[in-house]
Amino acid sequence: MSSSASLPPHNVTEDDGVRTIDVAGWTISATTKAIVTASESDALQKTLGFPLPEMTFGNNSLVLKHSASGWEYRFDTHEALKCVKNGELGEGDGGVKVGYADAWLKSRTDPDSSSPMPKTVPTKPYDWTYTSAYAGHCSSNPDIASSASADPTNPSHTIPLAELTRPDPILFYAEIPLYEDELHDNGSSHFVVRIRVMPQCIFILSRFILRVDGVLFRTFDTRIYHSFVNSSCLVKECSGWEAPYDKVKQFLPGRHDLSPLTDANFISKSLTQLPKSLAQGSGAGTGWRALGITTDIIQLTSSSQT
Amino acid sequence: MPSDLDNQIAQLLRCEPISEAQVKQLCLKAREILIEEGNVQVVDAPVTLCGDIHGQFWDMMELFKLGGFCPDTNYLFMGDFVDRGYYSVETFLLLLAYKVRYPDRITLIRGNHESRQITQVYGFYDECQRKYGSANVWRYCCEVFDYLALAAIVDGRVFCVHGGLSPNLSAIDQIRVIDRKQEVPHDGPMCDLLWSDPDDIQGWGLSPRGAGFLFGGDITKSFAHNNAIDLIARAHQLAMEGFKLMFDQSLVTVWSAPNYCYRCGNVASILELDEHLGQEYKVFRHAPSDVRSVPAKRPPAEYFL
Amino acid sequence: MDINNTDDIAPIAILMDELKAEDVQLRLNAVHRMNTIALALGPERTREELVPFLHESVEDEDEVLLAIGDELGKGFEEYVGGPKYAHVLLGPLEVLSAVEETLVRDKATESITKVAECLSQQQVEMYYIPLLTRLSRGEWFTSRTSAAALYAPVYAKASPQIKEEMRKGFAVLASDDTPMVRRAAAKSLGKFAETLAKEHILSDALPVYRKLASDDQDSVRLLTVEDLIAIAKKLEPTEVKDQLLAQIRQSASDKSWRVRFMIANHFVPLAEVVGEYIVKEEMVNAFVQLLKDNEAEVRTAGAGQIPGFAKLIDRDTILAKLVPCVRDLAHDTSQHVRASLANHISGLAPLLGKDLTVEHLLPLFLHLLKDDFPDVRLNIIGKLELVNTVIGIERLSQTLLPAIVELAEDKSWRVREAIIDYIPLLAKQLGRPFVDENLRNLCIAWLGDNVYSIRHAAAVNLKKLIEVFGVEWSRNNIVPQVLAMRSHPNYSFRMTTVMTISTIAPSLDLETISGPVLEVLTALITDPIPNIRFNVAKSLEDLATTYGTTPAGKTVASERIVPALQGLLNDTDADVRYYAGRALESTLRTINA
Repeated sequence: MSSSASLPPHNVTEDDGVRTIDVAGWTISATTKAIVTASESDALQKTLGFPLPEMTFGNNSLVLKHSASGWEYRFDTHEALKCVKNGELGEGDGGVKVGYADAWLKSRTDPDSSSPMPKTVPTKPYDWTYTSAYAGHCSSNPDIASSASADPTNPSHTIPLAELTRPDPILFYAEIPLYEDELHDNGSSHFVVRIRVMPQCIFILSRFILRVDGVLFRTFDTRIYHSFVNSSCLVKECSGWEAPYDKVKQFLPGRHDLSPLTDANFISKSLTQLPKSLAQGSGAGTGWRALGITTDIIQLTSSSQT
Repeated sequence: MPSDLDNQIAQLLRCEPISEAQVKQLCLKAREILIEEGNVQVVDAPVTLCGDIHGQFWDMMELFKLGGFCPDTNYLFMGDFVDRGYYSVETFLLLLAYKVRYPDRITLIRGNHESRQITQVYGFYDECQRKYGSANVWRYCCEVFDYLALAAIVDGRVFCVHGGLSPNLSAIDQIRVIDRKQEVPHDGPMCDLLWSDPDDIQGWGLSPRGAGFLFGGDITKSFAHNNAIDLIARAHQLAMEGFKLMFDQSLVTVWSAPNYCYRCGNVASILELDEHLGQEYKVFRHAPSDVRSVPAKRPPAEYFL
Repeated sequence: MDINNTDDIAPIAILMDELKAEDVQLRLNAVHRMNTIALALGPERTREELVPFLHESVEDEDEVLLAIGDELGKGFEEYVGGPKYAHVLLGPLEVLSAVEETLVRDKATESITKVAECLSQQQVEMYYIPLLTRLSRGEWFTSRTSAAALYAPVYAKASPQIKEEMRKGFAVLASDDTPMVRRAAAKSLGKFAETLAKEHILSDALPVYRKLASDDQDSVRLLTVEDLIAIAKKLEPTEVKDQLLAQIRQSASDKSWRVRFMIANHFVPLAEVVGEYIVKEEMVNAFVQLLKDNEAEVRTAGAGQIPGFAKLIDRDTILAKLVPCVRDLAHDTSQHVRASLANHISGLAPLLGKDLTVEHLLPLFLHLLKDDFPDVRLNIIGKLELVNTVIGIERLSQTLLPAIVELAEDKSWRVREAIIDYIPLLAKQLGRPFVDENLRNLCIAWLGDNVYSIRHAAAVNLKKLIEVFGVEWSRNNIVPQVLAMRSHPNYSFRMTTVMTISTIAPSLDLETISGPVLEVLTALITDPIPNIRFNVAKSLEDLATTYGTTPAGKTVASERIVPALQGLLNDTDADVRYYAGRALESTLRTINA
């Protein structure tokens, strides 16, 4: 075969929703299970302090463990939800209301309203869009690794798209939903982590994606790249994007069919096609603090080197 | 003609769509029947209550295999027949064909997805367009949506609605005077019936989304007391165990879409009310993979970037 | 379509206009009525006006193009003047086979293939081959993709010289720069190879195959598995060994699991064509490797091929090589692998024979019957009959009866259903005393199951048992228990009584029907629940039409069933009135026949 890459030795096992690969000194486990049961849901809701997303895959996770150093990095639902604002939303939280909120409120508060507002009690304030700028977290002793901003002039500090577009065989693939909510049919909020292990690298895309009908689109992507060739460092790139609803809608191929607006690829592609000053600058005018791109290099101090 | 309709039912039970002309006829007849029904349809026990289906046709077949087929078993579907699943067309048309063939054996009430606006986003419009090559079928169905009842009451004791209560409707009789034949409005009592949710609060609460109501246990109990009912049955929210009782069993959420969106792994349920209004919740799982042609359990590997 | 209906023909201008209408739906309808238009135009005008018009329609919506492609392949040559003019259809189809939408292209090539069937050698050489050349050399990959499928249909009709050019043309496609074209070539190579002479398999097909099988892209390589089978089929075993062994090895251990999956999934058809020697020397070990593959998908596919492959090897090899793998697969971590194994493992029983099945397979059956995953249990039960014929029902029931009784109350109703389906067979072989002692109560209890499908299956099961053990037996052992539920306070039990009566009635006799059965049904006619009443009507209809053909039966029907049904005609419920009316009508028809 003429394909350049030779396969590293690897072993894939599967057990009851947990798939694991051992490859190049890494053990990677993807856990995909059903959404939480009622009792799990009650318990989780108690610790978080706000109502859970409709589909909370509370037992799902992605765990990367580097055997030589003991460093471990993890994506899980609980931590992703801990990044959702609990309490009154303030500056930088990017809070929004549904598209027809003003009209709705007006219909209830107009002096001649046919269906006036009843006396209401305060309900628990929290970010009902479940916006989370969660980028995974280190679940081992953090001192094993050091993190620093990437050097934009150093080519090994970027994610090599050419390598990643090459159709090498995928040794291991997993798609791990963390949570999902339809926002009561006012849009949708999704958090899903994907991983592919290639003959020469590991690549992860963790993506939060939000649509509020008639209001905005928002994404928060975390990409982690690790090359087996340069075995002690990882590139981590986080990017937040946002745009008013109509700016994305203008990319629709047909007028009546709005279903592409539920497609994550369509949304993120549209956002990247917009001017940076919009999608990563002014956004949808919510003041959300996570807009923009940051790239970090995580350097592992593997025990063999220390 | 019952025999034509019987053939259409047989065809739809195999998950084969009927022709556009047949849909047009069916929807016309359905409107004639539905226009005669009240906003609060009066239903006799025994009857089996079902929650959201969302186009999961093969899972609805599991529901019938568990609860019995229409007309031998009487059914009350509490809305959200369409969107999200792959077979909204077949699902809704089968229920509608049953309705036309056996109007006394099946009751359909409106969910918030039985709306033009929502179905354009969540799949039903797209599916009609794909399966019929035009939006006509979607249009016919949307016209039927406008005629669906808003609520039902079983033997005067069990009140059924898709979403929940409205602060402007303290008596069931007040629902009867709403002009329901319209697109689901964004505000007002009709909107509340299809959209509101119960919550562990006292009184009424405003949704953190900025529109819509939450209602507490005291509201539920006083509604039940004032209207002399034992139970409020509603759908609208996913319940992992298929149903969820709240407020000292005065309210239940019934959910009938197992493995919702083909990936939640939840079970679903139906609530059988026998002739003495005895309640039995029956839980069911999604259809086995050989009978439901949906994408494989594991997503195909993708060269995402 | 009724072609004699002048209404369809007269407004032909309207139809032509519809083909050009703004509204897509109108154009689509017109395309589907194209044969009417053509018939009205006559062959000459169809060739000179309609076909060129279609030729220019390529800018239309994909749906319309799809419909055009489809219609032209449905014997449309009939409307252009018969086979001798069939080649004119190639014009528009050629255009369609180069458009961007895959569905349209596939439909167009399918129709070209159909048109090719009625072309003469001369037409092939004058019209088809130039088309093929144009498509094969098209600037866009779309037309080259379509071309690949078009070699096989006419190869046999071409002259030797053109044949040679075709083989070369195909080889060019197989080394195209665009993966989509190579994929199309890989997909079509098998069919093309089937039409080649042996010498050209060796000189042309093999090099093309080798190239594709070593492609960079696994999506190309995986499509060559079927080519491999097609080519091997044309070769002698020694040639397979010389020419293909390396490729077989390579594909079976390909680094892409999707390729290994394809090999695993086609393992039996492949093994069947490579000859005994390779099966023994190579395929056994390759198969073992696939059954131990890292990827669950590969193991699942491999498990499905176990009995088929086992048929090709001797018993000792099965025992030495396959049985240990089977044992591992029964404990596989993936439930899908275990389910696939459970579905196929019983196919080994006839090959191993009685003693070895008892020794090696029975313990695995028992193990799989206790699997946590219902599909695994279900698949084992569904295939027990095969085991039964090998080791005998007695042995099987002794070993498995405890497990079966346990599964009769399984929490998955599909498992319970599978057990019920199996009961009549068990009953037939084990006899009445055994059933009375071990199974009859279970069979009655299923009538009270809370799942409708199980109650229904239980009724069908009782019918089959009555057929095995006779009406006499049923009078004391089945009928009273069925009828007893008629006074249950919950209507669904009363409903089960009615439904079961309808189901078992044909296996009873008139004495039982006119006695206890009718007594119960006529009592239920006043049931407060309309669903019961209209099912009583349906049940009475069944009884009348089954038994109302004999004089004694007619008397029962007219004296007891007719008055009962008449009583329901004025029921308050519309469905009761409908079913009573229908039942009365067919009852009277039966009596008076």
